[in-house]
Amino acid sequence: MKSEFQIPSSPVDLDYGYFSFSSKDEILEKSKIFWNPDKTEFWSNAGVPLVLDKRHEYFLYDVSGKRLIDVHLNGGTYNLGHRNAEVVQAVKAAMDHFDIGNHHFPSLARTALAEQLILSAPTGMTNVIYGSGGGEAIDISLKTARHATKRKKIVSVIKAYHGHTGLALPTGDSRYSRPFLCDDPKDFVQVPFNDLEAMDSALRNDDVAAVIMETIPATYGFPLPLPNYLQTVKQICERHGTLYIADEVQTGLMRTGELWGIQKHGFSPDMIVTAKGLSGGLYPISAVIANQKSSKWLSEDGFGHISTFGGSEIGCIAALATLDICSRSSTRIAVHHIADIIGTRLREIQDNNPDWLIGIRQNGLVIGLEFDHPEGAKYVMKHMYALGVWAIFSSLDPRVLQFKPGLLMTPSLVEELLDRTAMAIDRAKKEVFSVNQVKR
Amino acid sequence: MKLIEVKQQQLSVAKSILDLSKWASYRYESYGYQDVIAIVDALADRAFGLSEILATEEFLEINRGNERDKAARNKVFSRALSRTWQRLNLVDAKIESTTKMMVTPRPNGVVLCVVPENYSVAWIFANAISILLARCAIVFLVSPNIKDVATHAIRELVASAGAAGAPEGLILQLDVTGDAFEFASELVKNDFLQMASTAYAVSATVPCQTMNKQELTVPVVVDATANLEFAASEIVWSKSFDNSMMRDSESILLVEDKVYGDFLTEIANAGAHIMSDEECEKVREAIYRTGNLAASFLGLDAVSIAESIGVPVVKGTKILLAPLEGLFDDDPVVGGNDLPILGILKVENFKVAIRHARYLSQKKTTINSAVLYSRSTDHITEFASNVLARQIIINAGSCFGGINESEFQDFLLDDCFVQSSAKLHMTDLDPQQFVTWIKVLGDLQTFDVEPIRNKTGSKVGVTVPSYPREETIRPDSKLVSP
Repeated sequence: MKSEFQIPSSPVDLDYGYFSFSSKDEILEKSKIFWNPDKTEFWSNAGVPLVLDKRHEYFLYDVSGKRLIDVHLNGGTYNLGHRNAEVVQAVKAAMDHFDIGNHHFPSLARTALAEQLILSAPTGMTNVIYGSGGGEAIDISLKTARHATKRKKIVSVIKAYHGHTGLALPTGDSRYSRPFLCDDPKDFVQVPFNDLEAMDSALRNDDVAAVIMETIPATYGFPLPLPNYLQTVKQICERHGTLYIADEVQTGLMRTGELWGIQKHGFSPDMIVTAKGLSGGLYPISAVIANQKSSKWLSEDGFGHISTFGGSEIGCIAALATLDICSRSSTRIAVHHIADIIGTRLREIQDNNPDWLIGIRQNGLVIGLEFDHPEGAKYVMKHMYALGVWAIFSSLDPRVLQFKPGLLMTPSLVEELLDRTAMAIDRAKKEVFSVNQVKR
Repeated sequence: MKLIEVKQQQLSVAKSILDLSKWASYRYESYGYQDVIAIVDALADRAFGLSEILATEEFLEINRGNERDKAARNKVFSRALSRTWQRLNLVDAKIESTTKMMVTPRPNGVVLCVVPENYSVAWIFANAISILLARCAIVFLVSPNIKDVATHAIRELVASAGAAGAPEGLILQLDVTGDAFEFASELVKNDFLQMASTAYAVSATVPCQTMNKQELTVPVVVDATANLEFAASEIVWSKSFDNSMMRDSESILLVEDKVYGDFLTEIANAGAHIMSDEECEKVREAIYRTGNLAASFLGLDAVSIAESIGVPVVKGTKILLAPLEGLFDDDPVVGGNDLPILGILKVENFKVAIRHARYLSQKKTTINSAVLYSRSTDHITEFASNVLARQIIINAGSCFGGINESEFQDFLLDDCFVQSSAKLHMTDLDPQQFVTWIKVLGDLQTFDVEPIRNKTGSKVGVTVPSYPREETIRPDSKLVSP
């Protein structure tokens, strides 16, 4: 074993200093043995035998050297690109002074980030509670809602996804909760998305602590909320003493063209949950931004929730740099340019494939492409991978491909992305329509 | 479209601004000729309308130069400039008349403009018009000494261009806290910048002239056939214009022996103070003590300079004239053009005058213009053929080359561009600098070439669409039934 970490000099050189492999096959084999056999095999079978090696800006490289344009971005973790230079610089500098810190004490970086998050949020937000990942932050928000309302029941939408931790898991689809015996329909009620009557009915008994919703449900394939849907849900919540938690893990941080997606809907939620992209893709951190009504426990018993890694100070620095970049007017306007160009081109692609690409769900750079096949997005994903683009299907609606371009993409990269995407959509269509391998 | 200001000068922040500019230029490339003209017209009209207000603000902020002259220059550099340059169509493909070759213009992308402190407003106007006509995007780099007026001017241009349909981010401003030229030099080392434009005098208070980045010399020949009264008055007007803050002004007079005496009389009548040898020494000692111009004198009028160095002059003196014995390289008065101080040399004849002008062109880094006062067609032709200036001005002051508020000739402006290779080269603000003409080969008989439209066609009023808010989401967007 070598003492220094070394970037391999060529795709076939898999000696990284602290570890080495003789071939990609060896990596995949050991991955199956020591890590996750099913997941490893799934991706190989799905035509995406990806083992990440180098990465920079919006490019990923397989260990074979194959280059991919990343429009999955780990759900927005890499909104600003992989290893964004500004964030890297901030984290490197932070490591000369800070470490994770001690969660018990007031901290320089946590306080600074909390202030910036409050300033960035819709009006009425007063406090920030930190976690280390999205699931933890969701758990914090649900615990916080239960403490504030003294109620236990949580309402979410069918096909929701809020993470895999203790309280987050039962808010989501049973595909993830049932295998671990975590589904709990008594305390975790699910209602159809965009159905106000169902929401009203679920809250009617004044026994619901919180409604939690992604502003645009990602894993469900980005179905867009109907006009006034979210506002009305908030009004229903207020009528029944229920708190509204906006899960902005994927829609936050300028992805919709506003810093927080909920800002487009003209109201302030009781809590905002942010994670993924907040880290700049470099150091894990998540946060709940809460208003005074919902965060009373912070004044009554500040030790009520403890997280050793929650709000680690290095993570706070990464988040401060990320928030700074995301908040710039230049970033916001660039997002609008990118969204407009991509939307226009996608509609052209749709016009050429009206029987295949049957829906484009777009809000800024939150984009879902709906195909006329129960697993259409898996086919498109495979062909996109072959053509050098990495985009993932929506696991709870595999008809829909999640298409999440980066906030800082350049015009030439967007053009290249769209050219490759058009070709992949066409190839997938031909495969599905002509070969008819899968029953349509 | 609102002005974006960036307070920091880190390269990374600048890069994000330039990235946005790339998007704006990308969008702007698809605009048709009429759309481009509409934007430039709107911008030039707004600039013209604000010429006087901005001149006042500029004068108050830098406290140098002449407010009235600044206003006049602002007017020239707005509407008149726009009208002249609009004759160029830098959008549509064309057949070159000489080669019969089809060429189509390709915008060069984003241009970084380092705003000079000596004539910031006019320079902002000229750059904006030139660069937008070429369908490029602009990032103005503004230093603190001129921040208020520059920001005001740029904000107005942004508003007018935006209202006329310019894409968001087409005109941006980047504030720097230190030397803008040095920051620009750092920026151009990076491959994310296509082109940069900068005047020489980047900083008036950080003694820019001592930086000696480029020297600019404008020799002026007055031959024996010239209308001496007119020549004297024109030279004094041009040299004293805005106290010589625009570096295109006259550097040295070369006057034929036959008319030298009469010319001195005329130029004295026009407002020049002819200095004695002793007074010339005072100038050299006080102003050029280090071999370079002391920045504290920049922008002062002739009377103020004279008083500060102990040279008695009458009220109303417009320039100080320094009779020279020869063109000595180590004499700072030879070739300087940043103050209303002008060297004058008596030459035996016209041939010698031309030889001296050529000598200056070889010795000095650049000669932007050379001026001849003459009524002889032969002299004009000979002068134009032999003096290595980039433009020859006949019987007109060099600071404007005979232009006025309504008519702008093809006049070279004092600027240089720094390309991304960081290699400096001298050129001018002609909008054609910002496009690359792409040759189109093939059998042109198959084309309907009159008129040939740009392949992207015309997009009237294309702007960044309203943000994709809930109410603007396509009504036919398909929602999933849960």
